[in-house]
Amino acid sequence: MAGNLPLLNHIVPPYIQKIEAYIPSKPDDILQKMYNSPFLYRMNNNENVIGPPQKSINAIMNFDPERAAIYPNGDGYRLRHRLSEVFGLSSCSFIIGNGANEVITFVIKAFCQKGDNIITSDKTFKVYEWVADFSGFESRLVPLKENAFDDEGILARIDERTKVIFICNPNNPTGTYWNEAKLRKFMERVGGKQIVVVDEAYSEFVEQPDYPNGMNLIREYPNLVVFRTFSKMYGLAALRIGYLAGDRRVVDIIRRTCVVYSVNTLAQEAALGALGDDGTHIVRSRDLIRSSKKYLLEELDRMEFPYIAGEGNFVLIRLPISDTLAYRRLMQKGYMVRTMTGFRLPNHIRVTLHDIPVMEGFTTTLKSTIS
Amino acid sequence: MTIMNTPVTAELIVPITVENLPIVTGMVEQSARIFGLNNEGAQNLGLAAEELFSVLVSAAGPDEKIRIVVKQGGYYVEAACYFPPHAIPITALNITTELNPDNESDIENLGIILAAHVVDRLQLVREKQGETAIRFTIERQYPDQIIPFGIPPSGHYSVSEGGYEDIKQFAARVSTTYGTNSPDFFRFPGKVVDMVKCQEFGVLLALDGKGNVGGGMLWRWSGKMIDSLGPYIFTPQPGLAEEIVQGVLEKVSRKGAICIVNRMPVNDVPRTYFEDLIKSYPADEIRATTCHPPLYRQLEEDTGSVVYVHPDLEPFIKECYERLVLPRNIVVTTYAGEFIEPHAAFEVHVDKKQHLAIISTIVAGIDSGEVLTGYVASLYEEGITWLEFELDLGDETTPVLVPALRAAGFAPCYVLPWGGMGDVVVFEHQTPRGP
Repeated sequence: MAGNLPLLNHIVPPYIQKIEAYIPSKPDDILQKMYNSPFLYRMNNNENVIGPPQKSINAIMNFDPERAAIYPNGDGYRLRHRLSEVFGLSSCSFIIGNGANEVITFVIKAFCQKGDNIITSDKTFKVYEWVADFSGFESRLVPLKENAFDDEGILARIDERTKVIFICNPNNPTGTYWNEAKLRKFMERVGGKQIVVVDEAYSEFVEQPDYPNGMNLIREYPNLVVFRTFSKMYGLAALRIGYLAGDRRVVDIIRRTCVVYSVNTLAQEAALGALGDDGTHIVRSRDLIRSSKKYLLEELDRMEFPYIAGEGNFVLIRLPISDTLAYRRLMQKGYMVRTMTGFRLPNHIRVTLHDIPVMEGFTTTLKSTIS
Repeated sequence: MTIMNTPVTAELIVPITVENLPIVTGMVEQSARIFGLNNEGAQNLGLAAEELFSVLVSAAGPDEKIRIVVKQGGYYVEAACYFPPHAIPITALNITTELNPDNESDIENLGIILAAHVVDRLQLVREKQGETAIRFTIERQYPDQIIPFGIPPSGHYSVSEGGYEDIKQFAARVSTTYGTNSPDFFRFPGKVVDMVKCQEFGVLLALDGKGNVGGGMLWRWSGKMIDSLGPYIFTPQPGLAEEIVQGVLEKVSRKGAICIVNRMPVNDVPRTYFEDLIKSYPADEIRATTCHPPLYRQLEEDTGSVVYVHPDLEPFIKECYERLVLPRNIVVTTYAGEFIEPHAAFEVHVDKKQHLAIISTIVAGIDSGEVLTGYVASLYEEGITWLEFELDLGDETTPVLVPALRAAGFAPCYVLPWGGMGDVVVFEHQTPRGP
């Protein structure tokens, strides 16, 4: 070795020293081999089992490989303009990111400084909390109330150093949601003093009439920022593309922290294709989710396993054994689920809904492995 | 009382030369006093550093330096001495080995052996890339202050961290209710408060809001693993144990630990949250009589690892992994004439109240069998009746130890997944003697 390892304790900030790196799962083929699984159904990441819309597939198939040598458009120019048409907002109201994870980072960096805090729930998508922690900001976690974000609890935790509030609507992993009246009331109570992020990653799966479309509320509430993704309903998870929308003055601030050129050309074109879908894809996906959810819940009732089944393409199941042990047993039989200890829901698993034949295999296996 | 949210440290970097000896001793002693040790404790910590420094002086090069960091750990003071790896003979660390006054190297190592006997804990830390360190630790003295509590009144107990007085009451109740089925430190409620204050331990209590503690759990971060104790339950509220365990799991998740282990499970532990690491029926009579398996649970999805296994151990390991459904690539290692360190060194953790000693590997060496036999004899003489050896399957240098372990009377009991660099096989000694 040419040089010495630096004294890491001296140069690494204390809030980084406290954090362990997130280690992603191994590739499916390696996991399948390690567990000696006969096959592998991914029921862990809430991907759309139908895949992308046809127009996205066409965009991917028609992509000229020679364009791989050319940098993408740095800020998703065409996609922002298309989103502007779809939602009736200025193209400057959108920021395209390398998945929703990246736009979470943009928002926190834009508004928080040393001593500030963000507020979210204890049992929700962990990246809000994670980004705040590794950026050296306090994340205030308000317990869910009846499996839903607790508006009063959140309001009670706000102080003068609170900069951003993250609401996952519907919530991952409980599927609960705030209706429009509740969201409006909350926005009124916040009164524009903090940025309120409403993460609508699963919004396209929701069929309830009182579910609010955050995009429609941005004009009324300039402190509202809405996250959407192409990874869930639109089946483009591998391409990593999502976006945020907000009042253009707020978005102008967020844009200052953006890492431009982070979204590749193929992702931008596939996303444009998705927005060109005539609605067939969403209808097909919702039909599948509706029928497989009905089937799964009936089976869970028969097995007497408690569950939380809200909106979205997933169901949360309470098990009579450790979820991490259940994961290993189910992996061995070919079903990869998401353990929920990491979501502060020990002994729960979250299961992504597949078509009925897969769900039949899963429930049969669940019954035999857990009992 | 001062609240110790962050450790306070003092640091010294000096060349390893004899004229710096008083500076080293003085710095460690003074820091230890400031950090709360009494006079005797501070002098002992200074003596340990002095003895180590004296050994290093004879082996270190002219430009080599020692870095000493004295840390206030709340309930202890630690002096960590960082030095060049070649500057200390490995045999010096086998602290229970008897000295031969005719042997020159034994005399040279006397200093380290003396140092080890004046501190509460000695730990060698060797990193593949980076520094080598010896950490000397002396714990603060606390009054043995057990106030007898009756059964707490019935009522509604809910789970929270509680205050320092709640922690003291919890410790006293554990000690009086569970006696020898709980670690010795619960006898010292003030110590338990400091253990929690310094953030090396976490605590979750069941409180009724009227000053009564109905139960609780204590846990400690230990690398990738969390060592937990409890839940200890003092009131018969249905579901309280589950509520406490659930609360602890919620608290420790998202913190980077892979698993949680309970090495002294009490009857109140709700089993649905944990896994058994041995079969519900014993594999053979020997194991049935000597194994003390902990309860265990993973906190993350297990995505597999590679383990290095001696051929003699392979059938046992395979059986464990199949039963526990753990995805592992087993690499069976055979000795092919490669260099092995001439001298072995082992680390010993002793719990005198439990008559328990746990040995683990610092360096696997040619004389491992001899050294292990020495340890076993020495520990039995000190009144140990429960003797374990932890073999790290993530360390490819350790499979060579298996024949020595067998010869010294150890037999494998269970696998503790992710208990070290990788999984750990826990051996227990098969010929326990009375205290």
